[in-house]
Amino acid sequence: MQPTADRRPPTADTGRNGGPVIEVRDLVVQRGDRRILDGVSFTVQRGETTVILGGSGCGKSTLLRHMVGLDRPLAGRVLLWGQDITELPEAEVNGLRRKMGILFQSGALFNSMTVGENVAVPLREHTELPDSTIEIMVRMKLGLVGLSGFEDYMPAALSGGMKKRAGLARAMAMDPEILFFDEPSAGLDPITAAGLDELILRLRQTFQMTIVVVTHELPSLFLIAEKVVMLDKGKVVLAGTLGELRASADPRVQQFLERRPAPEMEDEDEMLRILTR
Amino acid sequence: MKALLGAVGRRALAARAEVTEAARLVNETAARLRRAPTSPKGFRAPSTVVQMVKVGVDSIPIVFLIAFCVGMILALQAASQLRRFGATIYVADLVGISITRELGPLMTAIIIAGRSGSAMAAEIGTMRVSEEIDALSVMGLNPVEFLVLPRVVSLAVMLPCLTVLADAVGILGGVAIGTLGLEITAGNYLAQTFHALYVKDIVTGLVKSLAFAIIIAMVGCFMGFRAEGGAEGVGRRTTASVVVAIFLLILSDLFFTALFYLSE
Repeated sequence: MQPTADRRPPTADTGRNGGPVIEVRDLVVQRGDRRILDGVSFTVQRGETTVILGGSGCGKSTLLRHMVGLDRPLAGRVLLWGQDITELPEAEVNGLRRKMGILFQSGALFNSMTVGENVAVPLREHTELPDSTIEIMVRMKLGLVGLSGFEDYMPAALSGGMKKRAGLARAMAMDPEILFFDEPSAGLDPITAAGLDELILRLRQTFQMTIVVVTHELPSLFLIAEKVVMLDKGKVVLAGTLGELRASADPRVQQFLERRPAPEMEDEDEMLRILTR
Repeated sequence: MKALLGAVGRRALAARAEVTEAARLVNETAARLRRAPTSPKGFRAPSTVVQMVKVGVDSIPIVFLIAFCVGMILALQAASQLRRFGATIYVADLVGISITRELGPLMTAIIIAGRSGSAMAAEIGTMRVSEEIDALSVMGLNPVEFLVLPRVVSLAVMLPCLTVLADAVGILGGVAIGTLGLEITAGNYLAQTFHALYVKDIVTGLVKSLAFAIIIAMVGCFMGFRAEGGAEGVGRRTTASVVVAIFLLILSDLFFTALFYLSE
């Protein structure tokens, strides 16, 4: 996505797009002799919901890990609020991380703590708030994701969807400016998944957060996306609005949207390489 | 031949990567440990106490039982040799010295490697594969500070304590055999033991146990951090943590014993 003006007709919410928050430039990631990301570039504007789309193994989760500074790339840059996190020392990256929240695929709750303690972790670590205030904030955040009254439950006692919502409450504990979601609907039934999508929409409307969602679920895409970055084999196929995605003549985009299976593998060597890697 | 060389080379490169990562973890742990007293949130006392209970207090029964049995075994073996010379009273010397210098620290360390080192690897490994460690990092919390320091510090405090206990109980095992089977009174046995033991014997044992504690905790944590690929990967790393820890324990024991021998 080029940092150009929004091409959609002006609507009530275009005013909140306040310049780029995340810029990914020529990102290259390599594991062994396999190139996972190959020159990925795009920009996420403030207050926008961007969906990173692609099939399994296209590198979208890897891209997310690099966007939050969990891994360092072979080449390229990731700028958050204009600062290159691939070069910053860890202490400064940690400073930026306080302004962002991440919901991992499994929720990633700490299993040895209760749900309430999980949500309290960032508050206890990064603020000097008294326990009573933290308790109130934890209850508020859990209420926001529809988990009021679950403070004292252990994560193991929660269902998959509840774990994700609790993970979301923890990700939002510090009132982040950017929220990242890694496959929010993975492993959830359609109703629970739709509920999570609704929650994402509500968060955007209420808090005007910048939201980045990694997914391969088409229903989620059409419901929540404002901008789309589609990846295939480590490269950006398309970066633009939802309308541009629908209008794209690129066969890879069409194939994905129409849910057609990949053409029969003809090259035996290629097949063998994929099977044995 | 080419395939063989290739396989050897790949193994060597993988081993080098492991050692590099291990060195990095040890290095970071040392740096964080040095900084801990001066930074307010650099050291987590509550979770260190929790770990102390887990690795120390909860291990007392098994350490007690095994040390007592080892003391008895040593006494029986010593007696069967010394009886021929009518010198069974020296069983007390032999049991006392070998327990405090060698078997007390080593047996305790091996029990704890199997019991607590493996638990550390499994716990941290599970956290790794369920993205909990990534979650820590993105919350701006350092996993080494959060997970490794409490474990290293608690084991470094508790293993020497457990070793003292094992020393005492091991000697009592000798007393049991002495009074029940060798017609030595408990008083005579203990007097003979105290006569034979020097403070140095106990201190060298405790120095060893401190080193053992660091080895067990670092290997356990390292293996946990390196786990990948779900439950199977965690299982493999847990097994490896015990095998590697015991190997390094024996190796460092040899080193320390040689060092103390040469300095005598």
